[in-house]
Amino acid sequence: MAALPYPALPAGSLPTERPKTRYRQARRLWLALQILDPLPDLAALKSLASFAQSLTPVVVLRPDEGLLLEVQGSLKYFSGLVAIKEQLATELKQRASTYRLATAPTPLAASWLVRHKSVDIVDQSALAGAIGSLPLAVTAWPEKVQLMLGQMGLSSVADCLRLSRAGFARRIGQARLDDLDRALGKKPDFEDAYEMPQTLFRTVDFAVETMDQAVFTEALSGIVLSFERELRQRQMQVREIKLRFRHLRCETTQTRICFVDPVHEHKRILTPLLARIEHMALSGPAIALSLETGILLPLKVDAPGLLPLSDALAGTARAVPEYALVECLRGRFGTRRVYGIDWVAEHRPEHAWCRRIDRPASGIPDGSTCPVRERPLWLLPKPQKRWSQKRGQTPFSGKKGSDPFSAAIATERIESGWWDGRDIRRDYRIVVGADGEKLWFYRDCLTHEWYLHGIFG
Amino acid sequence: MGIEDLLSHPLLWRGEDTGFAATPAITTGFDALDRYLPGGGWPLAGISEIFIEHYGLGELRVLMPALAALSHRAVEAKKWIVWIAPPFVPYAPALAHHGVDLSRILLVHPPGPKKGSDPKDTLWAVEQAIRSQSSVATLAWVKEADVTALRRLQLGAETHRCWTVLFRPVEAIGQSSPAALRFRLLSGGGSPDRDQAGIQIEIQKCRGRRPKSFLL
Repeated sequence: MAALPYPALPAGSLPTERPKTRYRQARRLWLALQILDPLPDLAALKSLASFAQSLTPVVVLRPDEGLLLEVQGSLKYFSGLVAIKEQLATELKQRASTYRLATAPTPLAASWLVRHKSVDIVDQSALAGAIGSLPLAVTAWPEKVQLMLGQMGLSSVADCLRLSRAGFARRIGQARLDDLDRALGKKPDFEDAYEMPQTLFRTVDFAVETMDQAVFTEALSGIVLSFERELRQRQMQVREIKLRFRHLRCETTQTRICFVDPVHEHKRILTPLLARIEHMALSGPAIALSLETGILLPLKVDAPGLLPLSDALAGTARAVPEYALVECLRGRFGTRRVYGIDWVAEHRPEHAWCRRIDRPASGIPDGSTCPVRERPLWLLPKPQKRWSQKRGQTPFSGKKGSDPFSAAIATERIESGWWDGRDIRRDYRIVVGADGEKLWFYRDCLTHEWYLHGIFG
Repeated sequence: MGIEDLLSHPLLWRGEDTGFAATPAITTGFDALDRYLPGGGWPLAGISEIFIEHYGLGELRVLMPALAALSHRAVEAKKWIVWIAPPFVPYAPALAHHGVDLSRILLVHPPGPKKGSDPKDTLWAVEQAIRSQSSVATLAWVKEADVTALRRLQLGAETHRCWTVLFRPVEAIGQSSPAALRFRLLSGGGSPDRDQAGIQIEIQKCRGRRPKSFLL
């Protein structure tokens, strides 16, 4: 038998199992919200749940009724239950809703209580008395069950609790007995917390088809404001946003804007959007406009420095986001037309630079990596064949005359790139053109033709 | 009342230096030019127009010392040096060779109807770059711009202290312009000697100065 790679633990040295926490010992406090008027639809509830998640991470939807919030973990942060209720009340006042709030140690008890009255039951010992006084209607049990209980002379939850458990389960059903146990905290009650969507989506429908920029601007501004509000509440931000115009007679027009850094501010989202719609061609009048974000990312806020910035920096660097200009220009012209440049350690001139789409990574190269020889400040995107000894064509200026390369200076041979199949072998020369311009030509050693590759601007 | 008190009196105006000493400027890197220009360098608040007949006469080299200095300021302040509608690729190794920090260079290529860039889009981009307050310098190659457009840019550059350089075709030299500085690059200044810049400029307009030519 092969030896174990590690010695076996002696008997009795295994870590002891942690004692299980009894359900009753795990304190929970549920705040139930009952919206009385107007009756909430699912969209309104989700919107409210989005706000409620700024108060607690555990929010449960109660369809057609309201919400359940687990607030035990938030009491200390918000300085008590009263403060949480005040914040909720302020939000509901803005939404012009009438409502009722109730608190209980179990979610089912909170739901039953709030259907009847506003009351706060914080202590487990007071729970049985509080829900016992409730009429049976608050349980929302099926009508057939409630009718049967009524015929038995039972009118409140307390009446049910007085019956023998076995008899109640046999006559009314085990499910109803379980409900009573869950309400009293005798059985665990797990509610599925509402998970917020990973993206935001809003649509604005227009009364008539339109191509009016002012209408689009107003609609976009409203949507982006609501986005900002929700993003702030959820402490999230976005890096990408999609804009769609729906038409009646043709296919949807859509565009996408990517931000250099994740954003959540209204102005930074709206500015590139407005720049884009001002410039984009719609396939026809639009009947609706929608905006959808990419996957939401956690909000990251730069920590303030230990030492205060100088006045000049504090007034500008903090006030103006670094990438706002980039995003505005990209909004109008597209990402490919707005970019940075970087230097690449490469002998072949056309490969010695690259475009940089994302945030800058490197600054100035140090002296050891900079090219030793002088390079032109302008590089032609593609070398231009300017002069051939065979054809006797004229040089850059277009004037016929003597051989422009006779006065060439600073010859240099660049031979590189054999490893990737794009090898070059060129003789470079700096030439002063007929009009005094300083040019960078090379002669291809294979074809013996001259190409203009750069201009010393 | 002493002479210093008189000179500092707001109602007393001198035609030469007084009033320009406080002009925000950045050194050009050329002593002769610095001595001539108000404030001792390129005017940072306002637009400068450079008229060129063709490329390769030193239109970028003349700006390189100032651009290198500004790029380091841009790094500190997290701002940009914006190149709008450049006719060729600004070559990164050459810029680095002149001491320009590449991380703050931003290139913008407004789309054009055929080849090149739409003048309206180019002017829009210039105005955005100036007014964004997030750029320390804007270089733009502008073929067409009327006086109204130039005045808007001039006001924006003055307000937001953004060094704005417009490269214009030499045909536009007769056009009226509110620019603080206008000069033309001349042929014949090019020198094969790489120790000298070999740039010949002819100042057409400079606030508080008479037109003058320089061989740098």
